[in-house]
Amino acid sequence: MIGKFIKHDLKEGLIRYRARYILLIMVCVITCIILDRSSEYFIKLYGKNWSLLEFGINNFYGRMPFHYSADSGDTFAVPFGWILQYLVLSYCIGDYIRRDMHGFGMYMIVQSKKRSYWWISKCIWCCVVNIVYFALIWCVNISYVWIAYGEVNLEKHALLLESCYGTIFGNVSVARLLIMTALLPMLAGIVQSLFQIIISIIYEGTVSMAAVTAALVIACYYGNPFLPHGYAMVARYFPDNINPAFSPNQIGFGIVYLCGLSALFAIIGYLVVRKKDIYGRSF
Amino acid sequence: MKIQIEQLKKTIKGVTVLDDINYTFTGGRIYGLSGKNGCGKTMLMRLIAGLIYPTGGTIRINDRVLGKDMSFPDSIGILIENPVFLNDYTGYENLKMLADLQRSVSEQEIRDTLEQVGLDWEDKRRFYKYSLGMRQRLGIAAAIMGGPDIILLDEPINAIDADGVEVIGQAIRNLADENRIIIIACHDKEEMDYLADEKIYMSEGRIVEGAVS
Repeated sequence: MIGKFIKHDLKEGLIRYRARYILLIMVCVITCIILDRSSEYFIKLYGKNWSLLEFGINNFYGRMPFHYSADSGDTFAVPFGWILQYLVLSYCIGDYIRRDMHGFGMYMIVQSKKRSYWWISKCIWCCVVNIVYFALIWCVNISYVWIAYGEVNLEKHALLLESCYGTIFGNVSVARLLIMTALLPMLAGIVQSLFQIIISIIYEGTVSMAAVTAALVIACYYGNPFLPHGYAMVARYFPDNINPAFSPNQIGFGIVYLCGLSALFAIIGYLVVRKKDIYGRSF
Repeated sequence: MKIQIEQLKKTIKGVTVLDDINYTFTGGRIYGLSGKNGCGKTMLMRLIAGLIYPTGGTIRINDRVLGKDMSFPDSIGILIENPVFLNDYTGYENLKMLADLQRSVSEQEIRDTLEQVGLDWEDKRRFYKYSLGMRQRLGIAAAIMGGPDIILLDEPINAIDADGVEVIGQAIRNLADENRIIIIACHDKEEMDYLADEKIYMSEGRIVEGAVS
């Protein structure tokens, strides 16, 4: 029976919202163009083109935590490319859950008599949306690299990266960089989406999107290792030259932490749907 | 079939919307709920459907407490608020989707139910192309499909033309012949007189004893 729920969610919550993913494609293409144009000088200097892996790093580089220093006079700036990707994800999740809860999903819950199936299906839908979303980012990158340079590879050009980002990537393997740019951002996306869904069930869609935006800005500002979005930023896995007190994130801990947090949110959501008078608040 | 409501109370955001409701619904009868807008008719239906939880009191269905011994009534069909279905599916496909969850409803029964409410099961129009009246009929079809023991219909004849009212009224009356509880919330007095065996008048979240609706 749960298969019917999942089929319904994928059709109504993913395929039906497919137009929203055009926004992601636009954001990704613009991000790729900006990287290409802004690094023209270094590309010519080193005679190397950006690889697919490096476009991934560009997508999820993020920024170091803000560290105020009276000497430098730096002001806090949000990494727009990075934050936009997660805001568009939040838009793709949207208010589907809430609309379904008060629409056809209500009939499904009553007919099946299983609130739990409804919630499990939403969790699976959430994971599928994230997989599709992050796969799409990589598809855009592959297409861009192929069109712009004619070949797609996962090479790491340490000098080029260092010149553009000021971060020393020399000692980090390609496999670890792939985990930082593919797996961890997706896990952070799943955590964000589950959090958004729970808030939208308890309150409403706009509140959940505001909460996600706040979480993203806080993660950009602070370097606390318990902020899940910190693990979606490649910069946070490296030491900060300006702030020696900053301790870089660990990949292993990040994977365990984000998986654990996803499981925790799934359980919290189940309890909310099962125990809380979710329909009572909105009527 | 019996629904016993005892000292039922529901408070939402500090406002008491239902207070001290005591009533017993028995099978084989059609109950008509009436009262002004906001008097608590729909809220009472949502509570019986198991969609919301009471703040106080109990609802027993065949001596089992709703929300404790069971999450939802074992056999129930609802039409509460505006019927919402899947836009890209036909009426038949929408019902089929719900029927698959019940498992006990055959394709023939779906066709029969659609015909009962005056819809053509072969109609290939998708739900978003349905008129308000057709949507309402589909909502009723979803509620009565499979002949559930409890049927809750909130304003079932909204937006339905005169001929349709006759058809649907007959379909509801036919269902009442069996051991089944049908509760209808309705504003139309004539319709209420025609359909309901027993009329319940509600005011400010309470059932008003002996009132004529």
